[in-house]
Amino acid sequence: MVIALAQQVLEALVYLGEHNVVVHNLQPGEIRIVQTDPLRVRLSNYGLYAVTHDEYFVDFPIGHPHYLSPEAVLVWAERQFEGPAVHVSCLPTVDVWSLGVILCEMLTGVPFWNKDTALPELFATLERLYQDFGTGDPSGPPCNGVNRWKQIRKSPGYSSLNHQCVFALLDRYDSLNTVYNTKVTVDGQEAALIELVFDCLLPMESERPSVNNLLQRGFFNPIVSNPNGNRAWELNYIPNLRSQGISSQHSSTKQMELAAVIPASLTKVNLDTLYHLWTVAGGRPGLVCAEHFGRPRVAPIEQLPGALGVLIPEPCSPVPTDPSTINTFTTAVDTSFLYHGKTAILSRSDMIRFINSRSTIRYNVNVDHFDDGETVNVDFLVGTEETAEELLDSALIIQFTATKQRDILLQGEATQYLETFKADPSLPDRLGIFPEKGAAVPPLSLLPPPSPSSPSPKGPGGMNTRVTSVLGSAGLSCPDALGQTVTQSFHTLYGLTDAQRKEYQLTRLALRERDPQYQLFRIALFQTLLAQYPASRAEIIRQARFDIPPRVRGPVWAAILGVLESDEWLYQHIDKESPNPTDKQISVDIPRCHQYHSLLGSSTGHAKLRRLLKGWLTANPHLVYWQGFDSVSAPFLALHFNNEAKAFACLVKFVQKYVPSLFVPDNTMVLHGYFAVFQHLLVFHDPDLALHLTHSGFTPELYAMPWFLTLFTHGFTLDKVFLIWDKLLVSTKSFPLFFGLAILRQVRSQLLSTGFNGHIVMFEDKLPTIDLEQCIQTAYRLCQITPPSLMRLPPECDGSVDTLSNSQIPKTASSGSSEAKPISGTEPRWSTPIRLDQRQREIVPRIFLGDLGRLGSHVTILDVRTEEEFCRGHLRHSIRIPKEVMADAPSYLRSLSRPYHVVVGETPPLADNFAERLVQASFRHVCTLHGGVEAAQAAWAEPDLTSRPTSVTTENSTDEEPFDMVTDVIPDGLCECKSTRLVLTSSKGRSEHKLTLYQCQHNSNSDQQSLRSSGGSSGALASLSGYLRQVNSNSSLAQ
Amino acid sequence: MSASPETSATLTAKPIQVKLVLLGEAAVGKSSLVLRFSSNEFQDNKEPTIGAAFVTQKCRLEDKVIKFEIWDTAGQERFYSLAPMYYRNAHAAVVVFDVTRASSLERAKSWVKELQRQANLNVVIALVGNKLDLVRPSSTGVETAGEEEVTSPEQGETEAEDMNPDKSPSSESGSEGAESANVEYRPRQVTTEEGEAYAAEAGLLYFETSAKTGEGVQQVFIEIAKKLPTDQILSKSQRTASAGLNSGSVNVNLVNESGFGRSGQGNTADGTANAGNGCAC
Repeated sequence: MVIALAQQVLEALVYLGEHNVVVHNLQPGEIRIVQTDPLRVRLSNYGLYAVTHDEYFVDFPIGHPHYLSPEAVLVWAERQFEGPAVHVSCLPTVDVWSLGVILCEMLTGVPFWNKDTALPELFATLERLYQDFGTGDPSGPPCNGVNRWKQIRKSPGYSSLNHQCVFALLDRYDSLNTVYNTKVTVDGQEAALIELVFDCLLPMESERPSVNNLLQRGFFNPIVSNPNGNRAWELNYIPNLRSQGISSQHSSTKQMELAAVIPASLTKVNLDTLYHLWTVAGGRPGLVCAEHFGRPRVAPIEQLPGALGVLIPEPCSPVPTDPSTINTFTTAVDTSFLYHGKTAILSRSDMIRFINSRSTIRYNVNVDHFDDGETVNVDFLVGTEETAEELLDSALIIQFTATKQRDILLQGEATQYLETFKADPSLPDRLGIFPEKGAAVPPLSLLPPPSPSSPSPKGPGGMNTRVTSVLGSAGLSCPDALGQTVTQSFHTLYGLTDAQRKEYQLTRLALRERDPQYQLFRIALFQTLLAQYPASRAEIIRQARFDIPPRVRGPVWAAILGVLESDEWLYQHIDKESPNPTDKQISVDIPRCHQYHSLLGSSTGHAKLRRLLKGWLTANPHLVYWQGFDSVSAPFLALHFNNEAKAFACLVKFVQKYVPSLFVPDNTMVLHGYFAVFQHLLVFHDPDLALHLTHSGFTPELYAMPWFLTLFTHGFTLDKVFLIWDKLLVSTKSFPLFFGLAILRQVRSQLLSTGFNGHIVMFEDKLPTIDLEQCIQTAYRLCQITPPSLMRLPPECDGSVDTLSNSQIPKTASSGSSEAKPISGTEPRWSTPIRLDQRQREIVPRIFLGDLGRLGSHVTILDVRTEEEFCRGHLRHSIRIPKEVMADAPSYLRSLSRPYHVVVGETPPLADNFAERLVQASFRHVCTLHGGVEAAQAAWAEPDLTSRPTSVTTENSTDEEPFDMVTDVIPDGLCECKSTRLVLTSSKGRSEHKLTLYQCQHNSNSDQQSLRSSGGSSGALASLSGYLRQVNSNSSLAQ
Repeated sequence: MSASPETSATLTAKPIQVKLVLLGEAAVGKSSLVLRFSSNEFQDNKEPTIGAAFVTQKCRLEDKVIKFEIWDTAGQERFYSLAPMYYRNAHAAVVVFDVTRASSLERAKSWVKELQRQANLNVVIALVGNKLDLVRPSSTGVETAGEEEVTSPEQGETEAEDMNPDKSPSSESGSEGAESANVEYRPRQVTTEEGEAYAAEAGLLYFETSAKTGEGVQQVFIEIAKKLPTDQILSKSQRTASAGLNSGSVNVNLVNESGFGRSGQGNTADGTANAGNGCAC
């Protein structure tokens, strides 16, 4: 048993040693017995020495005095004498001494030191040991612990040592030794063990054997492989080992039961995740500390998971836990009170209950909602903005109902456990906190009735349980406050008025993040996927589109960005130190970068961020440091604080992928490219707001610079940045533009009601208070309904300007160049990138032919050319607007109620003018066709253009980008039919006016009536009804 | 400098819009000055300004109400090319330097030159030496000292400016705990005489301030307000405002001039719209 313990502790020490962790705190109280037969032990508090920067940060020695080695005491004394500036690190062999003392005590059953030894005397004895017996007697055998201690026994002045302990062991050794020659095995092993103990107790640290050396002692392995075999030594005395932890854990019978039924899903989770779930379930380390230690103010160090014992009977992590959790940061202030050596046991009953309780409430993670049609961009035709909104809402409801379809229960056993737990009588205790809501139950048909298999005996069913559990999980912290929000949100789910629904959308992600069961399953899912990375990258991205559990955000982001281990190697070899001219700016910015964050605000964080930035600059010699780049790097550093290389690799990939040319020495053009596209998108989606802002002079240049330069990392706190980037990383590169748009949309009414000065005041400091989650959703939604060609940045902005200016631009300039076939490999005529100056000049954005085809029946194509030109060839289904009725046309076109309008014209100014007219008439989604009919002719002249992937030039990077590839859909061929009349009516007041336009004959097979109904959002309606069908089928399934 | 009596009656109701721009090297305390002026607050480790930030603040001067529309610019040299967008048509400019950093005065001088060359002809320029609290114990900051003793933003910079040869060596040895306990003073690199001499030579107002303690901050804006040709500004803004109301469009077209876009910028166009707002001095 002792040998098994020694071996396990030694193995732990070897592991820690590999990670440069010296325990310095090895004592019986920190060796926890997890299981007695066979023996399994764990170390606790092994990180204190490392965390405190080798005691440097604290005013007390780390470790129990009785187990401190002589040199540790010397170092401590020296520090007391020399002052705190002295920084001496102990060798790993301090732990060997401590182990020696522990083993010695275990073997003899009595303490190593005499009971009444005062600390000064104890320290003095150790110092003397070090001085007198530090170096061996040259005459004696070298480095033999037994011999050295024999000498010690002969010397006077070691009365503090308990003679019953160490010297008794020496006697035992001698007696064994005499028998040794005659008797064999068992006692031989015992003697060897005693030899080991005394080797551990060599006063001079350099003479002590290393942990690896000790592990090689012959007797270790066989013993463990057959632990019940030769038990040479009775377990006389395990000081403190069955301390608070285990015994109290089992004292309560109820908890015993709980402990027995730990969900199988939990056993596969490592300690970090477990701790995370514990906090998600409502655990607050501060509260536990206050409760157990009665101290209101809790030092940060006590909040570390390592400082508290989370005990789970089944092993769920290797011994010891990965030391990467040990943060080497601290800003300790009052160091002398940081340590008290007490241990509190975190009650895991709550957590387990929550994970077990909601057996039937499974999350139907409807990822299909997002990959309808495989890519985000294809989704841009889901429908009009409004229907997309409804779609989201319906999907939302699907997600939160107790359907059985596509649940993400990973392990069958989990279900089993959950089933058993349904009957748990302890559950209803939590019920009934909840206000009545039976009356409020749903006017909404979408909502399926509560699952009948709900475990809840009261209340209307699954929802109730779920809510209650969430409520309960908050029980530790502030049941009332959270309870209210939860109550509210669920009331709205039942009530579902519009305003309330918005409110609910606000809380829904937050709710998910607070739900331990959901988090557990999501974490398990992602960890499974991450284990198979990079093969699983596509699935990770797919899942991440739904949400990313905060716990695994770091690795998931890295996976989405496609970071491989080889990417991290670079960081090891890159120059991160040598001074350069940017240092000054970096140094000024770092202490101002997200300082509220406990990691980034620490001095360690400063040093890390500096290395990261300097490394990035070295790795990207063509890029420079812009103020604000520190904020861009901050999220990665915060997520990979203990792995700079990973943070670095993420940063490099991120910049390459999302803002490849933003940090060039002169990014004026790039930024203005962003602004121009942003302005166009604003016109496209919200013409009224766009015109209002333009009129008041509040241009994107003035307010949007930090948005696009720092991708919203500046001005938002990191927790918000994480949420924004969660979506950004799985969306298109243009997501920042849409997020900016969403911000404007959110404050739209205020913007419209004020002028320039009002805008300034609004943007002074209000932005952080926007409703983030709603913004993200709006952005996502806008993104889906925007033709990709509109969000393309001008060629100046992606670094490809050189090649383009040489080959392409002259062609576009020359008129009638339809026969000039584009050089193979470059852009075809109809998708030539639009240059920045052009974009800045034009108020209305242009759409590419490839996107036009995909608009299908949602679009009204308006041809502003002459009748003659129209007859010569026009786009199918287009409507010709004669020049003379252009002024009146907008009000009549409304009756067609189609969501998109594309204006086509041979002569650009006319098309632009008419498009502007539409915009001024508050038409949304207006654009002009890039290249006009000519472009279409050129396109049809080309062979094999069906399903030709748009070569989004910047996206042809080596990395696959599954979410940015778009397939062009070229509309039907040029139509040369004669136009027929189309009479539109518009009723103003009482009188009804009529306007005659001309339309392509292919429209006329459907009369005007059917056009009205079939136009508009027919497609969207269809897809929506598809969703509704799905909802219904889901609900019937649930029934 | 005060307005004539008959107009001043109307003036009290209508704040005079004054566009003011802040320029200066990175981390000299531009944003902190604004924050102190607008909300009488001080924030440790105030995050850097990217591009520009706006603040408005009203200020009563005798019988007039001046509404400062403050454009706080980014300090990093790289943002230099954007500056004209912000200082164009500014009525006043505050050029800030750090009295403990000689280099920042040099940068301030080049800003002054540029302003005098490129900006409004009548632009009132104030040169402000900030961070007085770092060089000597503040006389006025007794009551605020208690709440701000934890860390100052300059602390971080102390360790950052290792390359500066004149820096006091004391900050090197400080451990984390010691650093936050008390404020360390830094030697002054720009004397008052030096600053004043340059200001006089270039025809600038000169102030020394501490955004941290609030010392001297109000004076900067009050003195600027006094020196502004408020009558002109008012009549001009009234003209543009009425013109804007009549024609329904905007006359001033700044941004086009600077070539950054097609949109007009009528920052004074709606001066009347905001006139109803109460004064928050």
